[in-house]
Amino acid sequence: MSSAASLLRTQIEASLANRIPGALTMRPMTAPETIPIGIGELDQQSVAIPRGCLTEVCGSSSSGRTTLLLSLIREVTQKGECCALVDTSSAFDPHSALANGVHLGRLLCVRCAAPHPKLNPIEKALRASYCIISAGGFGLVVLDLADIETYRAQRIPLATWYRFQRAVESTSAAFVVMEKQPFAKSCASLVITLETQYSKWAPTLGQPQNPKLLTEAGFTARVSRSRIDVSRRKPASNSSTEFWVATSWAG
Amino acid sequence: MLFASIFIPDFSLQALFAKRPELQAKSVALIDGTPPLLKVVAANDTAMKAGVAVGLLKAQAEAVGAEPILRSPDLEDSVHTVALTCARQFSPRVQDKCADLIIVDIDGLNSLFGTPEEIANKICSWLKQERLSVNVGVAGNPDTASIAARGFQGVTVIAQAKQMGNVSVTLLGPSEQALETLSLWGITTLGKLAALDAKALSQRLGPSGLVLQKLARGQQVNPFVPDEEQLEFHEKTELEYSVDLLDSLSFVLASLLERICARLEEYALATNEIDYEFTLDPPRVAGKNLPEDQLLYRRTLKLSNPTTDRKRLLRHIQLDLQAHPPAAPIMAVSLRAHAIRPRHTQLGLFAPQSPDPDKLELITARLANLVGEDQVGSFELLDTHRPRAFVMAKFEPDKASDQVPPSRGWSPKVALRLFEPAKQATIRLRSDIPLQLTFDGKRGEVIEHSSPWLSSGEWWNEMVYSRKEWDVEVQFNDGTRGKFLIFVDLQTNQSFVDGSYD
Repeated sequence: MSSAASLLRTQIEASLANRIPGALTMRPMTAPETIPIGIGELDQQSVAIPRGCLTEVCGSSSSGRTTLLLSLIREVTQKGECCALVDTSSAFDPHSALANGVHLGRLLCVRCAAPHPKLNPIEKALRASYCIISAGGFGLVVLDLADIETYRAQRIPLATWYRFQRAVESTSAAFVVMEKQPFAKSCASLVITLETQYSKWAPTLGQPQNPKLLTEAGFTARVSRSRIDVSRRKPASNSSTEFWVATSWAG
Repeated sequence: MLFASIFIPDFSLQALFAKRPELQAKSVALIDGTPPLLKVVAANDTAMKAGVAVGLLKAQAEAVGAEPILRSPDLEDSVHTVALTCARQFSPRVQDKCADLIIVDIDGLNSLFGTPEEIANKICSWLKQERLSVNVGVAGNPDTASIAARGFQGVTVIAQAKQMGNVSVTLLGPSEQALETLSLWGITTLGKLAALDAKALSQRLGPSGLVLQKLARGQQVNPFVPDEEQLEFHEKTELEYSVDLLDSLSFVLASLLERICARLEEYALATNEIDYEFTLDPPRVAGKNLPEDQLLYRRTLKLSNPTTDRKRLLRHIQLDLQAHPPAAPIMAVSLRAHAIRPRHTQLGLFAPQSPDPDKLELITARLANLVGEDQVGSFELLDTHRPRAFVMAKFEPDKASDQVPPSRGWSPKVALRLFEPAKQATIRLRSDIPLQLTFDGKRGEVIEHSSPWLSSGEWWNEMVYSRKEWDVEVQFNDGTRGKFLIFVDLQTNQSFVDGSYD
């Protein structure tokens, strides 16, 4: 009986080979290649962005999302790869990017905030992201929805996120969505949640009564979901990593 | 090797008389310059006899009865094109040296046009029909041929350098200092210069002296670099009924592009520039007739990478038409492709991945169609201290410099996230200290702040700015906390939140 089943399976696979190679064969799960974020504390904890997967970076305003993103873009452009940023709110500051060591010549930016007769910024951003991912050749594609109100971002159908997941899994690009809350649900392979910590304000001339200067900002990163671990271990819910980042004028 | 050099003496004047032969009998002074300082740059014999000289002012030329005519670069270009066309009738290997000098490689043309002298005579008679009197020099290298054309009238075939012995050294174009030295030595002709000892000449005039002597001895100094002829492939069609839908027009465009691409492939060429011209249907233009000049719709499509891919070209034209649609239905379509050599890129096995240049161009065109042409590209910072001073440049990762910031010792920096446009806010200040911030319907107490930072500039243009800014940390009433860059515009005295530190 088993030999008949095996024969049938072989015949089905052979007939479908052109369209679906190995249709009935279990594919071994392999850990995807990852890109280090470039922030020492997170790299030490092996928090890295997987290629060919959808990653969500969530957090409220001033929670360090943009800082993490610029560090990631720097890592990719430093290697000579190209990045694409779909900026829904046109919030990207190239001066900050340059201070973070981003190679601006290798960053394709699509600013979607300008008014359009038919499409709203979110629709434009989603279309632009899909177009870039489908074209291939980029090491990192970032969709910035960080300033979009939660209720509007929640209206993005789950099917859209599945489309993105399917499109990106056949490429070597990492697709990162920056937002206030995770919206992609099970389509996301990795969800990093960021929170703000207290920041350091130092007196300019060493005396407490002198005017202060923002010198460092503290953030906390927590991996809320990770499906990139082959062993299928769930991330510890309390495993958060604190990191401090200096301002460009503080050196 | 054998070269013929075509020299048109008094080029500006000859160009004028070739196009306006009725002026030849008159006393004509050609003038050039910026009014009112118009000076005589050339004059015909009649004018010269009347006392006109090069360098005279327009009024002075008029005073002696010469008719001043403004020099026309367009007219000279058209005559130059005629001369180039003539040269290309004889050989495809033509070097356009300058407006009045063209060099032609005539090696191996004996069986077609006869001896070198016959070829030179044919060139002369061809151009004579165009009312141009030219000198043609024939020699074994382009430099000697050029000297012969400049130094002798009519047709001259140089078999030995000795033939140029009596030609003046000024034809070699020496520097003023070298010319003065040579005239002090009594060296006025090429024959005398060629006879000098090379070592002694080099010691006195340096390398430039040796170059002059090489030319005088009939040796080649400058290489012959033939120009590539600009090929164009043109296809047009007239429609029985006007077309007003892009999908319908695409079928017409596709068939024209298919023919153009097939011809390009026959020549082993590609195109990176297509001019397309549509004749619009006048009666259906919103009930009124368009002026004649608006009946034609012209656009040019330029690509970074030359291609013969019909689908790619069609997609680019479709995207361009979607962004810039014509004002009326189309009656006739004309495409003109500028042909160039295809570009081949050597890829590396270990090179980092980057988008395919052909695909990238199509994607950026699609994205530009989606969000606007000025909203796609890579950031280019402007050389100013003005906030938000950047423009979007074309995204060309291949051309981006390889200079990347050093990775060693680098650490991330807190990033600013801009509000586009800056959000209007209410800042409660006491002695330049921000106490409370209200924006976006939220109110918060300032718990930390920096001292005010004053910046101003560009008062000399409309981009003038003057602002007082603070970095603040705000605790909002809803319990959230954030770090912001706030500023007061000192020109309007309005307060804004520029962005958040994120």
